[in-house]
Amino acid sequence: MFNYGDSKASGIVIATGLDGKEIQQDTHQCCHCGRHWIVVKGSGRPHVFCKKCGDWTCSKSTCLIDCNPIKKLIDA
Amino acid sequence: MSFYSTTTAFAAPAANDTALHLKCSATVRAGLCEATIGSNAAPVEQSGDYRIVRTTTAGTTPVATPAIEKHSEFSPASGIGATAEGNGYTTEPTVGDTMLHLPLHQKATHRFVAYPGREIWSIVAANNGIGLVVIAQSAAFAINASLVWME
Repeated sequence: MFNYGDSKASGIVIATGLDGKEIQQDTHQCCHCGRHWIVVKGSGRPHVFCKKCGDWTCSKSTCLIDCNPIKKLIDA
Repeated sequence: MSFYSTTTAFAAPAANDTALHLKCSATVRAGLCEATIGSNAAPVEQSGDYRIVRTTTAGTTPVATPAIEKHSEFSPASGIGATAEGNGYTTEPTVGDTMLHLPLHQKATHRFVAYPGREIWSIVAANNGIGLVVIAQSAAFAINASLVWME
């Protein structure tokens, strides 16, 4: 199973079994808190898009209230 | 800016144990690039649930102090700032935000790689850091974990 290759992915999780077969899945990162999550297409999990950042949020309540980009926190 | 890695073996993980911990500070910030979890125990049909978290306290008296390996150096003045600590804490580091949730099977080795610019950074504050935490395992099989980070 290969569920990766999203051009907007933030990372990848690779699982290698005993038989050597790999399962690769993209992760996305919340532009506000920096959290990664494994992208599961069709999972129905809501991820709100931040129009200021132009990127996805993890939809945690604190990440939806205000726009505090993680990149600004890192640069501070 | 430099890259470092560390690895640990955890013989008998229990729920809510910290398997590997990067202790940072108000002046040292680590950006996690890569995390690998596997098991060198005999293959069995068991599973585990792990999280990469931000930690907000240091924890007390860990059993293991894994060695840190320096991979590259782009700045001659930089040195190792973070401290790597293993498992067996008397008091576990306080778990903050969950940064990645990894439910795994014992027979598989799992590797997370953050793309450049998408690292998981620690909070710049005293005794904050990044930890790999065991949420639960269906049996107490040994795990091996390694982290790669940049400072």
